[in-house]
Amino acid sequence: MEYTELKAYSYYSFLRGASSPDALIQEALHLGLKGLALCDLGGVYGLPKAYHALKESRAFNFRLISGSEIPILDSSSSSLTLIAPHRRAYGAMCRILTKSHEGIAKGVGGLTRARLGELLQSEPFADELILFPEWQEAWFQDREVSSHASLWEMLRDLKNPRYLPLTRTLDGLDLERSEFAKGLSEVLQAPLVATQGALFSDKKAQILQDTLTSIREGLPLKDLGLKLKRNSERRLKRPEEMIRLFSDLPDAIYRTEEVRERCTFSLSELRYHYPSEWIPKPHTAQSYLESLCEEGMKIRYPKGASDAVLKQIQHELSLIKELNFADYFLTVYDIVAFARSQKILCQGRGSAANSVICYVLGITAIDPVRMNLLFERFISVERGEPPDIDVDFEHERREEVIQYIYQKYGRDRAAMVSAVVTYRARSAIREVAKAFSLPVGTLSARKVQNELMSSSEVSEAKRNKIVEVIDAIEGFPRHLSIHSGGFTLSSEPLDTIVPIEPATMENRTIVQWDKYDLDILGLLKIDVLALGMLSAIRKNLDLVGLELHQVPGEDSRTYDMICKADTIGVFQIESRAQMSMLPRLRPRTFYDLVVEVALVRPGPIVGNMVHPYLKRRRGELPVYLPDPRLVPILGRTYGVPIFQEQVMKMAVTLAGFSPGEADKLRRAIGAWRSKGSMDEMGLKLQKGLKVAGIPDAFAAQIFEQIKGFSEYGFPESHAASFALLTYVSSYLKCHYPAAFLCSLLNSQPMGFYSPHSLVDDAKRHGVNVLPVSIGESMWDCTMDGVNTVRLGLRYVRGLRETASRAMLDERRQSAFVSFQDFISRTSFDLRSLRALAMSGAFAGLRLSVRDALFQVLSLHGGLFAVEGAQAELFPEVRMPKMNFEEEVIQDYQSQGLSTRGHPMKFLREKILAIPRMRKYASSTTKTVKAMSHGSLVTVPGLSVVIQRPPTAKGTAFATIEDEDGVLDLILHREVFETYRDVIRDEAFFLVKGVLQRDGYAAQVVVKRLDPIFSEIEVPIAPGAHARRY
Amino acid sequence: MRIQEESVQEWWCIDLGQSELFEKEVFDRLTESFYRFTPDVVQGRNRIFLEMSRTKHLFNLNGFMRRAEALARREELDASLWRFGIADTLPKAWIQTRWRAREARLLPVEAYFDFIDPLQHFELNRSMRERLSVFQSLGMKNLEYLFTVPKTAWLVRFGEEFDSFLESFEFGARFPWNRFVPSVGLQEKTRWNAEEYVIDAESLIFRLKPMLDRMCERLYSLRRALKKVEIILKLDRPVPDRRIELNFAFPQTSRSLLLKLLRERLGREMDRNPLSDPIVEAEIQVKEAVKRDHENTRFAFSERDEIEGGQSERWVELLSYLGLKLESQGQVFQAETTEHLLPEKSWKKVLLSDAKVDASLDSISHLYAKRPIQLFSEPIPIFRVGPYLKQNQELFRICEFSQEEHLEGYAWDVEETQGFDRTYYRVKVKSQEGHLQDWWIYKDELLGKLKLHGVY
Amino acid sequence: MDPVKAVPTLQSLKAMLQEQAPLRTRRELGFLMSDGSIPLHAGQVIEVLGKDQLAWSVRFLKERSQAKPLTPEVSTARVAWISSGLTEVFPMALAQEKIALSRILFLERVKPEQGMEVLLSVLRSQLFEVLVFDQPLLPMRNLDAQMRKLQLTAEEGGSLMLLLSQKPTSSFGIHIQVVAEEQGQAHLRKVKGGTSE
Repeated sequence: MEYTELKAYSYYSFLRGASSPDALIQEALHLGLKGLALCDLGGVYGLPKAYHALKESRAFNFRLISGSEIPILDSSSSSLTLIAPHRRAYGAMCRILTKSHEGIAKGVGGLTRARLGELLQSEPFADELILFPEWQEAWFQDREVSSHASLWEMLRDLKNPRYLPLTRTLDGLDLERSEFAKGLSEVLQAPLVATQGALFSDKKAQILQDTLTSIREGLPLKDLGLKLKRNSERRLKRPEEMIRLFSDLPDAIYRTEEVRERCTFSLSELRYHYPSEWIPKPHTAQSYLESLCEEGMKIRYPKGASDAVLKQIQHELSLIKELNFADYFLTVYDIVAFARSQKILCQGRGSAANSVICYVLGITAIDPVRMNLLFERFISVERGEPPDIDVDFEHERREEVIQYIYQKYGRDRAAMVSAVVTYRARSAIREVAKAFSLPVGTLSARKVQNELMSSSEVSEAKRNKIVEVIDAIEGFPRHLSIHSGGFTLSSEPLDTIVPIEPATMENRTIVQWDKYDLDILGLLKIDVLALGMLSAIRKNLDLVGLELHQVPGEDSRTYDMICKADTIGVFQIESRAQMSMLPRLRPRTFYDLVVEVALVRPGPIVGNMVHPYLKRRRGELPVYLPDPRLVPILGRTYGVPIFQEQVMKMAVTLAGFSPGEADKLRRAIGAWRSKGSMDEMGLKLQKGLKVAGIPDAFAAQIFEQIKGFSEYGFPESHAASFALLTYVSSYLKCHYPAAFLCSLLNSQPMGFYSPHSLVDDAKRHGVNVLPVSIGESMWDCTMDGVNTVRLGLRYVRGLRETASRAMLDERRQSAFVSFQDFISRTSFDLRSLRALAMSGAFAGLRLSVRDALFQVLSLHGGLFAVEGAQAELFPEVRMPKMNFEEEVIQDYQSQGLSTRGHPMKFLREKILAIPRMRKYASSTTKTVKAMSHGSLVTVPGLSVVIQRPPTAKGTAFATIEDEDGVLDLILHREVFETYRDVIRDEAFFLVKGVLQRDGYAAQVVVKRLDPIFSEIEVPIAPGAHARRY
Repeated sequence: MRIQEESVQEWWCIDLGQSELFEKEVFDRLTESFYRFTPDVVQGRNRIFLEMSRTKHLFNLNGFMRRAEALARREELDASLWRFGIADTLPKAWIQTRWRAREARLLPVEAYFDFIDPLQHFELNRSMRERLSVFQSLGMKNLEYLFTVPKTAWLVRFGEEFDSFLESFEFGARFPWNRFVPSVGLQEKTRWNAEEYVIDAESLIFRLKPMLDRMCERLYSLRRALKKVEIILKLDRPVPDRRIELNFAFPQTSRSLLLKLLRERLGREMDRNPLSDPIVEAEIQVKEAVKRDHENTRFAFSERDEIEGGQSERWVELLSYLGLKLESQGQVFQAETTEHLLPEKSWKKVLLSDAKVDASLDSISHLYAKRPIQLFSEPIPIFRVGPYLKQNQELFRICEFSQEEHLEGYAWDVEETQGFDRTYYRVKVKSQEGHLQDWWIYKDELLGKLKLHGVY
Repeated sequence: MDPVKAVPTLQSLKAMLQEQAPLRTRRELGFLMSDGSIPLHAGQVIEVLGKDQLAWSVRFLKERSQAKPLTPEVSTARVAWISSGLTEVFPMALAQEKIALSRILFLERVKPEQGMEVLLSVLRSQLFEVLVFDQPLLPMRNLDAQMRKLQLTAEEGGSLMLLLSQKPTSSFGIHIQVVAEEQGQAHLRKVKGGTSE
């Protein structure tokens, strides 16, 4: 007689189950079970993963049954388990689960008994769900059947098939419990069925389950008492063991077979189509798509499309027709069209950029044919996986797009994809240490790890046990959160496919599956992502009155600026490593920018493709292409494979791969590096190249380079879309520096540098920046003439926007005449008033920072505080004047930047005062850069950026800044270790080192760092991870 | 209006230099001992102020220093940490001690708060730090700057706080500082002449009884119960005093019981080492007295017992008597069930001086299968021999095996059980003489051994 | 009646005495041995022998606590369990038999020489209804006198005593001897004043 476990919990019953869905499946197969019902608490989170594990194991005659347990919210704290026998019942179960989570953001949700009964009757097909009414240990204690049976009297008027689950956990009361269960089963007419309520897949996981219980209950392990399971019996067991356990109730075992036969539903039956009811009547999805393509082509190719483009479009359209993804494309088109109509700048990226249709529909901005991109990278027949279109939107207006989607398709047909937040070693250590009753308190994870764990009070054995549990708990899900932008939509209601839950963020709903589950089940996803630079570019374009497509291409002045690495604030190429590469690569064309964006990544560095590419580009090395067919593929990158598409094209043209196989190769390459050896795809490519007559040396070299980058390698289409934004932002910085600064300042926080670096850089380009003033500043920074920017009130720390907007309206009527007039006509609270005074915004009213503060204090109130009149008493009292240093320090404290000048200016006087530094007071970054290669230099500066990329094996890259510009530093491992604390605590340094010059680019290899103490507090740039390494 | 001090004062300030707060008794005793220098002593936070203008002439500075060091040694304090300051007003004396500055005007702006609160000022709290940051941002580097701005402008802004600063800065103090008053000790002493020849316990008790009564009265008035008392007996001959210490497990207030315990203890003491000479003086010192909480909430019974007439009194008496009689800990206890899985750890002793027994816990006992009445403190090894169980060489035929109870877990419990895995059975066995017995045995799955743990 | 009372008859003397100083009457405990045959008085000593003595004692306590349920009025229903060695009775089992653990005071590892003193002090506190103690606690010398003393103090305090012993003690003070062998069955071996087997 076989056995099917009808109630198994995976770790998706958060903090209850102790094993993953795939571990449950593998153990069930290993033990020879005939099937397993995964009934997680409050949802079907683990089903796709279990389904995937079953498919991978290629086991036959094993049935994965879908179910879930819904807690009952009223007093008796029992629950009802639903099992879905077929697709229609599964849909009903999902809808009931959605209702059980309504209004409850986190946690397991639940329904009252009455509501559940009502739903089981009202929901279509819900009456075919198999019910397992749970009963509680407490009921059994007083051995009295009737009162508890009444709790389930709602079953009487339900037609659903039902069984009473009986678990035997060998606690010495099994026989009495069975008697009680028999009594209950007669009253409820629910025949007994044997289940083990498996919480973990094997005995050793019991300690893990105990720890989870401790975390859930918030009590240390030793205080849990009876909340702990008494033994490890609630695990998957061999059929023979179960039969022996239920030897006195053989038909309870037989009924598991009965239930198994009833359940035929498999997740593979889930298929849905994208909402297409808004498509104009006469058209089908495909025909409408084709008509849109025609219109799009007129716009994209005003002079008529070349036949290569036409051939490609036909090819793509036929493929879409075959895989019927038409409505998916139309949905994306609709969203992008909406954004365009609202003037929200947006741009598709990722693999979508390979498709001409996306270009023609205006989803992406790259012409794949001109760039000779590869459509198979986007969709391929063999793979059969759905395409994955990511679209970036302005980060400040993305919310409008999301609400549009919800409003257009309805909350039951559109929901965001969830992302499972799992335990990582760092987050697990605090919880596990607390479970072992270590005094964790508010210690950070690092402190717990280094200090607490190794302290004397923790014995060796205990430490090993804690580490053992931490390793086991890694990867366990903690809770669901929102994927950064993933949306999934469907024509018929989504909640018959997967339950929908409210997310912690208000007015957001998420499906219970994450993006990997959607891939497994072949469901479609659109990524609606936010990109700060898009907002900045749109604001900049509005300021200068241009449209994105009106930006002239290939502007030589812009490329000169880029080659000089004068790219602070520009998209993608402002980072420290990029700026040092620019002068060496000297990009002159758009494709050069595409390579620049892709080249400065860990992949190419690891695959050491950077130097060969540079040398060949400069002609120092011959470009050697043994086979003419390689020219169109590797020609543009001087024979060095940089993009994944190049490898796929080689496989297709030379080694006779089909496009689908080429894509499979791309995925396989990633594994080579980690496994270290090539799999059969790699061998096939090698053989193919040999057959095509490629010399072994060249092939081997290619393989070496491919192995390096594919995991990190940048898809060409992706690099191209980014390169477009890089070019546009460079153009704007070159031609309209003031507008560029103003739009960047209004889109903070973003990018690599903090506002004070952006302001100083702009001033070096002749832009003058006016300080905050209550007379002229608006909330955002504004243009005050072509070349001047007026700082906005948003930069005054501690000032509330609502009060400031009210002040601006007041000011529109009439300007403020005096401090008194300002106070009486505005409604600022004391904190905001003081912030305004400290920012020097009252300079317009002839009040210095200190005088303004002194006036504000009079409103403070004290023993003698009197209404406004008294404050006038001492208008002529003047505070001591501030010198330049104090003013700059005050600016930095109040706004994080200063329009008066660079802090280095006053710091040089300080250096003059220090004897051993006196002679370097005058040296600046400009004078150092002018020196020759190899000379010893010493220069003071403000550290702006410090980075220690993992791939650089310990060396750190830093940048210092002063009035004249920026200077890049290299700190080798020992230099960095000796000055680690100084770097962390101080902002200003006197740098002593050797200058390295490579053409135009100059860097200093640091020998010695002396801190220059100053009490100025420089904010850390958000993107530059300064001081965080 | 300021209260004008009659003559020019001279305040000496002694800062004890320790950052954390002193123990109250030690600090009071030290302050009290400064009475010998001057009647005007003011106590601050870890600092003492002496108004020496009237008694300064009685001794010179290093005389004062030597005596101060002697005081410090007596209280085991480190005199080297002490710092001194002398000035015409108390706040200035404190400033002189703390900032050492000669000219008050040149003090940094932080001294602003030292003037406002010279007695208690210790650390800057949040609002003080905020005030100082305002001064700094207004460019007020030291107190001098404060006076460049007209006083009323500050008063308008900071009101009373600035007012008390001005007062303290210019006039020393607005009101007289309140002087320190010592508290009273608790002991009883009587003398009698040697002729009364008090040499044995009984006569001593006769004399101690009145003192004991007074002592109990005072304790009762102070709402205190006696925990530790010391009796010091001075003998006629210059021999070291005989000290007897009585330590009660439960704080006592009832006079009769005290006397009974005292009589027994003295009796035992006298038997062990009889007195060679008559006692001339006896002193009872209260070493430790505990706040006396409500009489009958002490043990496991309700007000109802109170009505039963002295029940709680007798219970207290019995338990304290047993506590004294059975010396070692844990002999007198009540039992309480716990939620631990292991049978031998499923109950714990509630020692009678601890809290009372939580009767509600009994309810968890029926979550388990039937437990044996008798549980051996050491499980007895047994061996399976065919249909028999062998227990120290005696064979018992197995008549009936019950369903198994599997207790497993606590693998995380590194300190105590290090994890266990036992399967318990209730087994009916028949001994050779035909007696039927009901055993509770378990198989230790980790070691594979069979043990007899209890009998029903 | 003239001032000089007539010579009272024996009955009237007894009645007069009864009025003034009530005779020491046996405090009825109001419950009987489990088989209902023998009335139990305060001060009685029941000696329990046999392998099943612990189980029998617990059943005895259980019947007693059911006979006089723990109503607020009856607050003296306390039990003292005094043993010369480690307590072997399992509190969890007592709780399962619905005997309130908060009413039981345990004394263990009492040295035999302290035995009498402890027993007397416990009895004198008049707080306990039943005292259970084991044989080693009984004094060796002049057993009958000591037993008489125990019986008198117990009678005054309204307490009943269960003596768990391995071998029957030959002493005048033992009122009832019970031998408990198999589960449940126990037979009377001797009843004071009654016939002894």
